[in-house]
Amino acid sequence: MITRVKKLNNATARTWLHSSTVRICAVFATIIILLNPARFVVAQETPLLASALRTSVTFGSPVFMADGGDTFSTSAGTRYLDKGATLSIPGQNVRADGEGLVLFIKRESHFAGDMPSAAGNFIALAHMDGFISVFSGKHFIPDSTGKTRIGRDEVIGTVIGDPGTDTVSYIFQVYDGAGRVWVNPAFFISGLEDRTAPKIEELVFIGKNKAEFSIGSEKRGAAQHIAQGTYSIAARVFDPENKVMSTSGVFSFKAILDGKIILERKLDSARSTNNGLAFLGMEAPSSGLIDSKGRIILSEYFVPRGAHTLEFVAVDFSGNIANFMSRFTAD
Amino acid sequence: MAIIYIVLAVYPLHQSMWLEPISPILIPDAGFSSSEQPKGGNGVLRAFANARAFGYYLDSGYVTFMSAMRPALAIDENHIMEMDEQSDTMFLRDAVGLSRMKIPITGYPYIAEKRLFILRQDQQASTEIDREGRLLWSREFGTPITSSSISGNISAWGLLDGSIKIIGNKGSSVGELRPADYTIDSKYPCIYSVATSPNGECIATLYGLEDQYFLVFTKKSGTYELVYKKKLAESVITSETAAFSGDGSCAIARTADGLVYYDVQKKAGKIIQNRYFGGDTVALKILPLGTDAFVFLLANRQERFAGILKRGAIEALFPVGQDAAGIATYADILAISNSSSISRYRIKGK
Repeated sequence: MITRVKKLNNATARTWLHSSTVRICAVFATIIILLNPARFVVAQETPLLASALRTSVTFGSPVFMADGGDTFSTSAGTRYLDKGATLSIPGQNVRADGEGLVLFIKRESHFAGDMPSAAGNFIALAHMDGFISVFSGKHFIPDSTGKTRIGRDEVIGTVIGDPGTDTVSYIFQVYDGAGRVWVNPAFFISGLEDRTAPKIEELVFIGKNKAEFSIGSEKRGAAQHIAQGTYSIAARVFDPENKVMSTSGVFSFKAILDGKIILERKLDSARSTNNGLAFLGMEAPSSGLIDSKGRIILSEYFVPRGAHTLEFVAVDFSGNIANFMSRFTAD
Repeated sequence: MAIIYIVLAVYPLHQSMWLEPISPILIPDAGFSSSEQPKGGNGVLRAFANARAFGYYLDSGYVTFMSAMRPALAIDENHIMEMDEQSDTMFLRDAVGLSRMKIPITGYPYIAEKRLFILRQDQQASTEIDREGRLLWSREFGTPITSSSISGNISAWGLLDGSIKIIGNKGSSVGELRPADYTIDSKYPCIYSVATSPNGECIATLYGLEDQYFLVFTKKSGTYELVYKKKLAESVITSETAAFSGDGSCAIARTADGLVYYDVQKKAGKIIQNRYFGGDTVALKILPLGTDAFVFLLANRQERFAGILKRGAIEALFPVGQDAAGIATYADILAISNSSSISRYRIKGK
């Protein structure tokens, strides 16, 4: 059995209201939760509960392969949306985050010509509640004792660290086998402290003819004239790395046009479809949801003639908010 | 020990098919060597000893052996695919002229049945390119690839979520096979091996945990029908090998109980409980030989063996060096590579 970290809900909160002290605390907690619901989480009975010195959640972040430099590759298949988190831990031993069964182990091939393991070595643990946790990494070596039943905190592998370092890192992903979705691993990581807001680097309207109109960003607000019509909203947003604290990852987007919400999406899970992994509830392979500039292509929307105000909001898993407002005119 | 190996190699433990040792080929010391006449052979040898990849050509130009140990390298008789891990760049080399072309797709190379694939770094997508380096198709699978089987007209990709994605050679989806839909009572779905028949009509797979099954499906009216199901006493948790014979009449798959032999015509299977294929087997590689036989290379914790299987029986079995890493066939030649040479045997008998 593994423990899933769930956001504190009202039903859970009610059971705590037994004493006046607790009530006072609860009032404060409720206020704080209302201000920032994602930051305060409690561990319930047991799903998977990982902990690390430092975490970088990259669920929904564009992965781009360097193509002779720092540009995005223009080829299909080399860019996609990530669905994991990198956990830095002390020592070298990677431990199970919940009780489970070893479902699959991939080790280096013994023979020439075998299908390579592009992800390197990895181990997948199946847990009682249908979740599968996957541990991988370039220098990850799965445990070779042949143990099939794993208890919480049991060593399931090691990571070869660089000489002189006392921490190592590995990639952690969570798959919901029953629902056939990858779940944002941030839900399963305790003590995820992130106080840095996401960065909205670029926001553009992309027309049917692929013409792009920059609507602005945090750096440069833009007041533009565009032609009325249907546009896809594309955003380059990321949660900046922090050398001291963790990065909880971009969790939700919201676009408000003239006071009306035209787009609201969460990066809580990614569904496996025939086309590939569908993020943000959109039926497209993850490689099709980002463009060659690393922008996530969000919904299409018809922009009518007239003056408009667009507000775009990005929130990370810890509840830090980035937003900006832009005015433009559709002719 | 070396003398025992040599004696056993010439006079195998068991043989009803006769293997006649012929001169081994020594692999040059190091480097990207140019073509050269192999010692003790009459062909052209290309050796990339640093990368533990090497190949041997007959004078006629046909390959008898070509293999690679590094995951960032894949080779066949015509091409070498190499991922430069420093620069994250994929190169496609013409194996004859050694001219090099940069491929704008990164990942890990995989060559099977003369088809060139690139597996994405997260092991969850595959791209096929042609020999000019052009993208043919790219497919994202949703969960990590645990096994694959490539034939001329389809490719089948076994996944961690217990499904098999079957892709046509132009990238179209031929189907998705989910054994769980066939009332297989495995608690945990996962594909441990997959094999497709040469015509793509038959698919064999090792599936599930608690319990684990060997299953065979055949295509009927556009859908897959379960034609054979064998519950296994023990389970594996790693990728295993499975293969159909050259004529598609039978299949072999490694399981924790031993090798499963499946006769397509009779729709019947049996387990070959040879002690060499039991739980101590660390790895096994099986390749079709001729129409209805297979060659294999197996490693257990202590030693390595090679041999021949035919109609569900072991026809030949003999020890090979601990560094034996590759096996290949061409015509009536069986070639086994180790770090310094390629041993060759002429297969005799029927």
